[in-house]
Amino acid sequence: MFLAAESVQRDSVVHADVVIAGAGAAGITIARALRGSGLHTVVLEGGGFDYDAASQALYTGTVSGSPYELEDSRLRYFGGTTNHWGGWVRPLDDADFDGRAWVPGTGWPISRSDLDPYYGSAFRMTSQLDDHPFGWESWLEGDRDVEALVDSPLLTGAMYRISPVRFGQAYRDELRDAPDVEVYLGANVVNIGTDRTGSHATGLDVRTLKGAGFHVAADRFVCALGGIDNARLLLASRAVEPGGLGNSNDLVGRYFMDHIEAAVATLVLADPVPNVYLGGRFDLARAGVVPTEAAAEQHRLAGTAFIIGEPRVASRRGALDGTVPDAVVKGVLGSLERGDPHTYSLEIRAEPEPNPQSRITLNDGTDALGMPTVDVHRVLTDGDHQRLKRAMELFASELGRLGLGWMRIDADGLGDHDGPLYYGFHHMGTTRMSDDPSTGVVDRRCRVHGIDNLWIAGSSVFPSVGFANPTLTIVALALRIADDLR
Amino acid sequence: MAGVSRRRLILVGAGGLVTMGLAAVAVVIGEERGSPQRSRRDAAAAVFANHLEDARVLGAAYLSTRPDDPVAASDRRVPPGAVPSGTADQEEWFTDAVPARLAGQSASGCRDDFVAGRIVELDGWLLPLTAVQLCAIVSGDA
Repeated sequence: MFLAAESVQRDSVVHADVVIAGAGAAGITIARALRGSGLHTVVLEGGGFDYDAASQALYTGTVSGSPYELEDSRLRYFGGTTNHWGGWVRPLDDADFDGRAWVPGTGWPISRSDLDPYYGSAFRMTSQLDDHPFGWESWLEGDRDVEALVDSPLLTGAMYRISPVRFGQAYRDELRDAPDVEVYLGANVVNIGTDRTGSHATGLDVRTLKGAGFHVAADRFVCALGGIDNARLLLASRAVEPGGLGNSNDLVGRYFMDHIEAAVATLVLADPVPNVYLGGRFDLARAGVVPTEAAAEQHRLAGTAFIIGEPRVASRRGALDGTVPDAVVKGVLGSLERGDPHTYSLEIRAEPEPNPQSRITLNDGTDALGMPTVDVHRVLTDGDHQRLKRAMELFASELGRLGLGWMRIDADGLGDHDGPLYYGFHHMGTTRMSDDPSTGVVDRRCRVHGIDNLWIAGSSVFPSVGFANPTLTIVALALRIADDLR
Repeated sequence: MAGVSRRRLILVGAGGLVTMGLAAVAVVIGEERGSPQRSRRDAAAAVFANHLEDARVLGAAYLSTRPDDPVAASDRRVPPGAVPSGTADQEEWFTDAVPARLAGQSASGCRDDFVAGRIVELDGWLLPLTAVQLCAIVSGDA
C-alpha cells in the first residue's frame, strides 16, 4: 500500500522487518521481490508519484571537477531515474567482472556466473520483453536477418535491447496491492542510526518537506538512493563514525564513475550501415561495435562500445569546420571504393578507470531538510584519454583495413578533459564492492563492511563498470540482495 | 613511337602473325590499360572523375601540412600503394592503367596502409597515405 509520510504521527516509530530507502529501479525491485515473503517491508521514497520541483531541489549540489549535470541526471520521485531513462539494457560481460589488468582498479570480487541466475529475471523486469540471449552470434544466426557491419578478429558486435520501462508506472499497482509492503511517499531519509559500536543499524530518520518526521526501526536496511545519494546518506550519518558510516577507510564517495559517452567522430562508410546498428525495424534492439577481448588486450583498452548514430547529410563544402569537409573525403572514398558512401555520426561509450580522486563529498551547504549537500568532483585520467584515443584509432584502422570506410575524430571530442557531454548519467562506484574492507565499502553480497544489517543496492557498488548501461545489473544485484534479505 | 608501351610494341610488331585468338588477347590487355602518354596527374585525376575538385581540396590540405611528401615533391614518383607490389616501372604502370584498375589497386593500397599504420591525420580524419598522395598529385603542378 502507499502512504503519505505526512500522515505518520510526528516523531513516532514505524517498525518493519526490512526497510528500503529509495524507490527507484533497485528499491522497487527488492520490494517487489519480497512480496509474500512473510517480511513486513517498508519503502521510503522521498518524492511522490510525479515530478516535484521542491523534492528535486533536494538533489542540488556543487560541481568541482569536470562539468557535470548533477540535478538533471536523476529524478527524485517514485520510479526514480527510470522515469526518464533511455531503456538501454545489456548485462556486463565476463571481462567486466574479471577485470582488465591493463586498466588499473577494474574487476569485481564476483564473476558473471554469480549474476547469471538473476540476469534473466532482471531482464524481464527491466525491459518487459521476452528473454533473449545477448550473445552476438545468436543474433547473426537464424532467421533474424541481422547483418554485421564488421565481425573480425578485432571488432565484433554487441547487442543492446531498448525498452524504457518506467518502474514507477509498471510496478505501482503490484506494490499498492501487496499486503506486506508499505511505501511511504514524501519520506526523505536523512540519517542512518546505529548502535554504539556502529556495527549494527537500528533505524532511519525520516523528514518531510513540511517539517514532519518519524523514525523507522527494522532488522535489515537497504540503501537504494542512487549512486550519489547512497554515498551522501552514509557520509551524513556520522553520529558514531565522524567520517560517516562504512567510511573508516575513507572510501565512501570515492571512485565516482560515469560512462564516458560522447559523439566524438564522423564515419564515412562505403555502404549503408545495416539497420540493426540504427534501430530501424529492430526497434527493440540495437547493435554496437565493440573491440574483441583479444583486441582490447592487444590495444590495452577499457570496456568500449561504438554506437553509430543517425546518418549525417553531407554538404559539398563546410559540413564540418576545418580544411577537410566530410564531402571531400566522401568523394575520395567513393572514387576509390566505387560506391556512394554514407556519412554517420559515431558515439563512443567507454568505462572510465576507477579513480579515487573522482569522488562525491559533502560540501558546506544543506538542503531544505537540513541535510548536507554534495560536491561532485569527476575527473578522467590521462589513461582514460589515451585508451579512448587508442580505441578510436583501432576502430578507424580496422574499418579502413576492411575497406568499409574512413573516420574523423572530431576535434571537440577527444583530448579535452573538460569536453562536452562526457557522461551518460550513470552514477556508479561510490560504495564499491570488494572482499577487502580496505579497498571497498560493501562486500560481495552488497553488505556494508563492518555493519551486519545494512545493504547497498544500486550501481554505487560497481567497482568497475564496463561499457554496458547499468540498469540491468542494478536490478540483477537487487534481486540477489532480496534473496539475502529473506 | 614515343608514349607507346613496350608491350604494345610487341603486339604491333607481331601484327602479321596475329591470329584471331591473339587479337582477342590484345583486346584484353588493352582493356587493362589507359591511354598512353598520360601524365601521372591525368592518371590520378581520372580516378576521381566526378569528384576531382574534392580530391584537389583534400590534396591541397595534405600538402599544406606535408609539403615535403616524397611523392608530391617528385615529378615522377607515384604512391607505392597505388601500384601492385613488385612492379618494375611504377610510373609506367600508374600512367598506363585504366582508371578502374588504378582505383581498385589504390583502394587495396589504402587498406594496406591501415594495416601498416601509414595513416595521415588531417583535420581529425584518419586517412590512408595512398589516398592523400593521390589527391596531392591532382592538386599539384606535376
